[in-house]
Amino acid sequence: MNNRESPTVSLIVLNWNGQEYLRACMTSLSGLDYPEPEIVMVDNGSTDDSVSYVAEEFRTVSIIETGRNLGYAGGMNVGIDHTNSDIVVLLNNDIIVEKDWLTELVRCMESDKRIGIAGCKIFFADNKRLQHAGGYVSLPLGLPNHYGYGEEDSGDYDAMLDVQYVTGAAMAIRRPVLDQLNGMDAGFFPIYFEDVDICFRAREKGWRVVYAPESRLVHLESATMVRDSYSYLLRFHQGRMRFLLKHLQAQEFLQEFVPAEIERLSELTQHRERRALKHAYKSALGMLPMIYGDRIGYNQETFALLQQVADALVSLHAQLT
Amino acid sequence: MLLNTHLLAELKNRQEIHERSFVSGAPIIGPLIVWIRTLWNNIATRWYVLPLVQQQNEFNRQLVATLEDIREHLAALEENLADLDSDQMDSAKDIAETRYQLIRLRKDIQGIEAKQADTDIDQDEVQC
Repeated sequence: MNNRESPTVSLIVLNWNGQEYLRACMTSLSGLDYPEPEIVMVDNGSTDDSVSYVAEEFRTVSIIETGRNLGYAGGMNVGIDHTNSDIVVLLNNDIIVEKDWLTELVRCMESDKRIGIAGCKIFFADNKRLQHAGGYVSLPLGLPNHYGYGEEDSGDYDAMLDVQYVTGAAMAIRRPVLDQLNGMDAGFFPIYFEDVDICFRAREKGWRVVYAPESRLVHLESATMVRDSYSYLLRFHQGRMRFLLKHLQAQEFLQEFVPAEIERLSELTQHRERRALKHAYKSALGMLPMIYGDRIGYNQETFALLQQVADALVSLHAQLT
Repeated sequence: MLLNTHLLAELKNRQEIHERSFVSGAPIIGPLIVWIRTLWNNIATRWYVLPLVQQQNEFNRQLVATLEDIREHLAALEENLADLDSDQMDSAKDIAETRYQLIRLRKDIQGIEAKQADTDIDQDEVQC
């Protein structure tokens, strides 16, 4: 039985054709010193032997098969709906946690009930260089950054800190936050910016988002898309545009984002990224009606704003022609 | 563009191949060596090589001309593609605006229907 001093925790590992990472990931999760965490693997339609492997080798792990790739947020939402614990921790499959990782993460969250989301200290595969110690978004362009990225862990990031966001590679969320925010936004399909988005939405509702330095893990970060590939750039910019449409006021978008983006485009020579951006602006037009309607309302004033933002997207697209 | 104009200009400059004159760096007998090799070339190989050179030149001219045609076609296609892309963006904008108005109308209709339902209930209660 769980010690009632400790909140109940579900660890949700999202998997898509990641069999090669699962042994290390599941072994480390199975060896945690936290009392009886529930481990759930959501399989997003893998075509490798991930499911049978985990079913045979890690019998305590619950497996949910979605049957197809629902993306990061869509897959995680399925896992979230399946659980009812006090805290849910969303995890990539290419992570290896330390024994006390979860204990420290929960301890940090329990230090203040207003902490809605917490992230940990994440290392590259060498377990020396930092990959993530909390994150912030450079506005108005909406470019995400990680504190400590690529630096040796020399003690500069050893204090708990309120941050703008923590990475979705390992993110603990309190159940009331998920209930209040209606889970993750599956519109960020298949991946990127859904983690930033949920942290921003939680902060807008008054929750704290914090970085927990004593909670440590290694993220291999090799199962995701190759950086600088067209596919990565397209998903990244589509996510960035959705995030900006959701979180910038229309006037901020028009008066701050658009001029900054035009300046950025004038310096952008890489053909692949220019092509990805053109598609991302087009996708943004598709998202715009629902985002503005749900966020601001369905009325003549919102329609006028929507028209201005749509014109701005067309003009950004024209910059790349 | 894949076929850039500089590359094509360079190919065009080098499309004609020519016979090379014999030279010799040998002192005193050098001119004699050149005369003998030229004579031998005239007798034994020139009649055979020159038609091949002409054939090769003709092939090169046609190849460069074809590449130039392809480059022009590609340029035209890229222009058309850019126009289509721009048109598609304009259409996407129109669709976005129409979609918003459609959702708005649907919500208005739902509001009217809800009010109508309330009115019907009130009337029923009055009749009772």
